[in-house]
Parts: sequence; C-alpha cells; structure tokens
Amino acid sequence: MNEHAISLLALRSGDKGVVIALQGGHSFQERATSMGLFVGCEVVVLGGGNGSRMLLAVGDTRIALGHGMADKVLVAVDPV
Amino acid sequence: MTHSHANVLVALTGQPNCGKSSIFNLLTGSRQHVANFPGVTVEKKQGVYRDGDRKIEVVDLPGTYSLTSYTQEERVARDFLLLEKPEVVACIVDASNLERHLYLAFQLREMRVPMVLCLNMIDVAERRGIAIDIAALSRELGMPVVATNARSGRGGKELREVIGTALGKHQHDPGVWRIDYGELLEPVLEVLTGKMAAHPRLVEDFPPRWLAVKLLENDGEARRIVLHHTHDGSGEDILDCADEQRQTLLDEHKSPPEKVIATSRYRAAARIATACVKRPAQAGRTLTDRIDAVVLHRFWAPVILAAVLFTFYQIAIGETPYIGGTWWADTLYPLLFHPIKLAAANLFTSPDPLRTGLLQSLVVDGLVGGIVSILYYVPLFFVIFTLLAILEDTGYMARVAFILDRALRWFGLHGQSTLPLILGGVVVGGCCVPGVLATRAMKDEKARLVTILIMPLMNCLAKLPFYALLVGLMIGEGNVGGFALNLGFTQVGLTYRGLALLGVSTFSFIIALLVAKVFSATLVKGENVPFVMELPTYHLPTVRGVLRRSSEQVWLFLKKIITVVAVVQIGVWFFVTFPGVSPAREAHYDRLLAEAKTELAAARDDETAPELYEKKIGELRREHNRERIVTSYAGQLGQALEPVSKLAGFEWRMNIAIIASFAAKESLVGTLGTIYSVEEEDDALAASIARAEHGWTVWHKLAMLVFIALFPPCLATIIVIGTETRSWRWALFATFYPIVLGFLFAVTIFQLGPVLFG
Repeated sequence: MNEHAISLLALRSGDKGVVIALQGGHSFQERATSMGLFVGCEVVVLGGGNGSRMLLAVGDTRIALGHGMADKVLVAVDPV
Repeated sequence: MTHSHANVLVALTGQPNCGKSSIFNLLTGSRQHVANFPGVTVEKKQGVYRDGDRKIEVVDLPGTYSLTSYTQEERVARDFLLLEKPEVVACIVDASNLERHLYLAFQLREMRVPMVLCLNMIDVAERRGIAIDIAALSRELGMPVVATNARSGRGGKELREVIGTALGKHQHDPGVWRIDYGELLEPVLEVLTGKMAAHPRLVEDFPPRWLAVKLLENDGEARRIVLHHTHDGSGEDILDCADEQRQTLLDEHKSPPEKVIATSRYRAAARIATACVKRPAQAGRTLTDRIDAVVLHRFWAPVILAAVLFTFYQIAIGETPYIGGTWWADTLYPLLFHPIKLAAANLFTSPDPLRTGLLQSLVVDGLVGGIVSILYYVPLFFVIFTLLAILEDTGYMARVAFILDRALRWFGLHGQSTLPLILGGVVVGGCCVPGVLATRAMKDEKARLVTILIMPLMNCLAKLPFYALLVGLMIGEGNVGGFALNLGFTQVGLTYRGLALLGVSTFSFIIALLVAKVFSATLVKGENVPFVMELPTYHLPTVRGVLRRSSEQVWLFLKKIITVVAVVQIGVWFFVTFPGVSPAREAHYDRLLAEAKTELAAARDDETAPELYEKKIGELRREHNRERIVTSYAGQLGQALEPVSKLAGFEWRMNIAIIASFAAKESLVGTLGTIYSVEEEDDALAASIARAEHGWTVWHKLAMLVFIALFPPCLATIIVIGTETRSWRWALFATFYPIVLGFLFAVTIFQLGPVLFG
C-alpha cells in the first residue's frame, strides 16, 4: 500500500481508500468516528468532489461530508 | 421520578436510523405520551405495557451515536441511565449494519447497565443475504439477543419475553466482559481503577473501568462525578493522575487516547462481526445508491428538489378537494370549529342591540374567537405534518439538507435549516410555531439559533389575507395576459395577485438570508459544526407510521398553543376594549337608538320600516364598535404613535390594526374592518378603505406591505422562541428587530419612492 497520504478531496467518484487520519477538530472527529468513518476503515467515493459535497460509502452506511471536512480526512490509496 | 412497586422501568437506546421509534410503538402500542426531558428541548417519549402483573414503563431515549457529553441528546441519554437506573436497557441496533451500531452497545456494556440487544430490521439484513449467528453474538456480548422487524411486528413477543426474563434476574453485570484497549491504555486503566477502588461511594454507583475510560477521554461529566463522590482532595488526585497519563500518551506516543479508544472499540466490533455475521461478497451498488445517483446528481438534484417543493406547496396550501390543506381547513371549519363559536355566542342574549356585554365580548370575541381562529389551521397543519413525515420517512429530507447545505451555509445557516424555514413559510403559507419547533432536529446550535431568529420574517399563513387585501388595493384582479393552465386536478393561473405574492415572499426571503448572514457574523457566537451527516437508506413509509407522527406533532402544537393563545387573547381584548366609550357619547348613542325605535313605531304600516330599522341599527352598532376601538388603550397608543409612523405613511387607523394584531395576525384584517366600519368581507373592506383613504399613493401601500412582510412574530411564536432558545432575551430580540427593520424599510420606500420614481 502506498503510505503517501492524500486528502479525500483528491479522490474521484468510484475511488476507494483507507482512512489514515482525521485532522478536524474534536467534534468532527467524534461525529465522524461514531458514524463509522474512523481511522482504518475503507471508504468508497460515490459522488460529489470537485469542490462540492462528497458522498461516501463506509460499509453499508452512506455519509455526506462537507467540502472543508473532506479535506481533513487523509486517505491512503492503493498504487495504480 | 417515583415508581410504584408494580412498575418497572425499561429504557430504549440506539443510534439514529435503527428503527427505535418503531420498536417503541411495537412495545407500547398507543399507550404513550411525549414530554421534554427536564430543562432541555429533547423529546422524552414514554409508554407502558403489561407483562403479567407487572406494569412495564418504557422510556425512549434520544437516538445517539455515542455516549459522550458533547451533544445535548447524548448527555440526556447518559444522565438518564446513570441517575434513573432503568432495570433493563434495550439497545436497538440495525441488523444490516451491525458493526457500526455495536459502537454504542459497547459503551452501554461498559456502563454495566443490565442489557438486552435487539437486532432490528432483520428483514433488510436477510434480503441482503446477511446471516447473523444470534447465539454466538449473545455469547460474545454476554447478553440476550433477539431479532425483530418492528415495521411488520415480527419479534415483538420475543422481545417482551427477553426483557421480562432480564427483569427477573435483577442483577447487574459482574463486569467480566471488557474491550481490550491495547498495551498502551490497559496499564493506565489499571492504575486509575486501582486508585478509585479506595472510594466506595464512587465505585458503588459508577463502574470504575467505565469512569477510567471516560477520564482518559477527558470527559467533563466524568470529572465532575469523580469530584462529587470522593472526599476532599482525593478526587483531585485521581484527576491529576488521569491528566498526567493523558499527557504522556499524547507527548510520548503521539496517540490521543480518544482515538485509541474509538479504534479499539471498532476493532472489537469488527472482530465480533467477523465471528457472528456472514455477508455475501460485496453486493455492489444498492438500490439506494442507484436512486442517489439521480437524486443527488449535479444537474437533476435542484430540478427534483424544486419539483418536490412545488408539489409540497400545491398540496399543503392547495385547494384541491380531499388533498389540499386549505380545502380541508375550509371544509372542516364550518363543520367542526365554527359551531363552537356559535355555541359560545348563544350562551348570551343581549337586550341591547348596540352593545355586547363585557363578559360576552370577553368569552365570545376574546377567548373562544381567538382559539377558534387558530383551530382553523389545524387541518392544514395536519396535512403539512403528514407531508413532512413522508419526506422524512422516505429518507429524502436528509438529501434536501445535503443538497442545500452549501448555499445555506454561506448565510450562516445549515442544510437542516431547510425544513424549519419551509414550515415557517419561505413561500407564503407557513407558521412560525412548528417552524421553530422543527429546529430541534438541528445539531448545529449556532445555525439553529440563527434559523430561529429569522423565522419571524417568513410568511405565515395569517399574513396572507392582509397581503391579498393590499395587493388587491394596489393592482386589482386578473391573470397576466389571461394566462391560466388547467392541469386537470388543479388550475394553475399566473395571476397578478399570485405574482405579487411571489414577489413579497421572495423579497422577505432575501432579506431573511441577509439578516441571517449579519447575525451569524456578529451577534450569534459559537462555532459552526462541520457538515457530516448520514444519509439513511430509502424506505417506503408506512401509513400508520406517518399518521402517528403527524398526529403526534399536531397534538404537541395544540397543547403548546391553546393555553398561550387564550391568555394572550384576553390581554389584547383588554387593550382594545377599555376604557370604553365615554358616558357622554354613550348617551348620544342611546338617543340615536331611541330615535330609531320611535321611527319604527311611528311607521307601523310601512312594510319597509323593519328593514330600514335593521339597517340603521347595523350602522349604529358598527359606529359604536369603531368608537370603542378608537378610544381604547390600543387606539390611544395608535394615535400617539402617529407622528413617528407618519414617516412611513402609516396613519393611526393602521397603527391600531397593527397593535391589535400582535396576538395573532389573523385579526389584522378583522380589526381594519371594524375601524373602517364594514363587515368582514374583503372586497367591501377594500372599497371602504379606497373611499376613506383616497389620498393613499402606491407608496403608502407598498410601505405597508413591506412592513407587514417583516412584521414582528405573534405572541405564540415569541413564547415558543423563548422556550426553545431558553432565553427571553433572544425572544425579545426576535420581537423587536423585525419592527425596527420593517419600519426602516417602510420609511425608505415611503420617503424615497416618490422622489426617485415621481
């Protein structure tokens, strides 16, 4: 796995990644984590990106994430 | 709270979207009621059911993802578990999403409350090919597990049995079960629990390991518990130790304990899920994903949203028979509510044809009239609440917040402000009271307060008759170019009046957004909560579920409003009734009445005489009524304000109507009718105003329209704002800023309009 961390924002619809850090404030970390978006989980980008809201699939949960917040989620993606 | 011996207390907990409300309904049926948890605006649903000779009292705790003290709901749920000590806690989890829902179950388990686990929505899991080994899961968690599908009623009996058995045991969990927090935290937890063991008062009431975990999470409530339940100084000692350990973990290992704790919980959840859940290979895109691909599409999302909102309005305030809210209100009013008013009026017989007795006018006009005029809206609210329940139950409402969040956020609002603002009346035809109540669902406290504060600028239903009156005075009737579209079920005509109303609502909405921007940048303090929300799977709502929700909402609204309105109506009645017409003038009216009677007696043979007499009496009665209002306290105030209000072109007549409409804006047009001495018929009033005020220019009317559009909230709204923000200062502020704002706009229009446009 590529250890280089990129922002979730860099992913396109259909891309997969593993969360390696949540950089936001405490309340964001808490909320994200409790919804299942936590360090170590796999996310699939379903839609959004390009500066708008992002729609993610984490397991069977669908999470909508604001632009600024998506920027604070660091993911590792498999090298192509 | 006290419970008789036969009563036992059971609490329901669960993360949002686990179907907890359905489980609550399944257990308690219709025997339930809704209140608030003390001191907060979190709803507390309670119900009962019988199990043999025991009466089981069920409390539905708010849906929470976790049990920290960061949100009101989580605090409420946690305090309830700690203080009320329910005998069994049923944790409801979404069977199709077990791994994530176990997160909350673990935290409850750590609090060592006696638990049962309810695997709800088992049918959804089965349909997706997910198989759960219930016996294994029960072993892993050390608690009874039962599978249910609350929507269809499956598993209800088993759930009651499992709860009944758990009640029989009557013992707290010995605490063998635990989550492994790893080599970094476990030694620290050991040290902390060791220190706590010396304080029997602490460890008897609170599980030490849970407290230790909470202290490492730096939880404020846990710190308070430790301080309150230890002797002088020794509590501080425990806290210092926890702080020291936290700091070491942060500095030396670069790992915040919160993160280690959360990750450990998820690791445990993943391990249990792997052991107990068999799922098919990645199912690919679900139906929900396919719907979302369209509904959240960059181009289609706004189109679909606009179509949904348009349909919403067509139905909510439409006049389509059997569907439209206005049709229901108009149909039910003469059948159900108007008779109440008539019955009240029939209680009194007045010998005096000119005057109504004081008690009569208090009861009939003040009290009953006021309440009945609110009751008129109840069918309408029922329709609106039903539509909203459908939108929410399908899962679309969460998408609306998602689509609009970005635009609204720029103005200091939140995606979740959409629903409250729609209720308040973005387009003409809402009500601020349910609007303010609906902000409860908002997690972002700052955006919530801003949403509440701009609510008075929305266009409530009661402003509608006044808009219609003024627009009629300004531009008359008719369709634009005779345009009318017949859609079969309803006729859509682009009338001048419709266009003007659209203009008014667009204007007030733009002002509201700007006000929101200013408030969130200056007055309202606090951080905006980042946008993170779960989009629930789409569901087909059930008729029963939707109707139950909407009737619950209507009932809550009624309870809140009726009492308040009654009190306020009496106050306003006092101000428009006293001090009353002066004795000299009363004598004058008596003389005129006597003259009319003599004329009637003299012209006994003339067939037209009784009709003439009735007409004359009618005129006299209206004239007397008018004088009563004009000389009342409200009337005096209206006249005293004229020098100021003149700046915006308002004369004392208008001032009186505005003051009197403070209780409920429904009465605005009615009061104008009384002042201009006409019966309450719109056209007659328009004609009579046009005759009396032939000096009015279009700027007079426009200034009034704008002032009313930005009019202060009615008293019911102010009171709800006060209770929801728990601050009377904000309630007062929400009352007065619209007056100032509206007046400034009105003055600007009235003064500058003629200069700029001739």
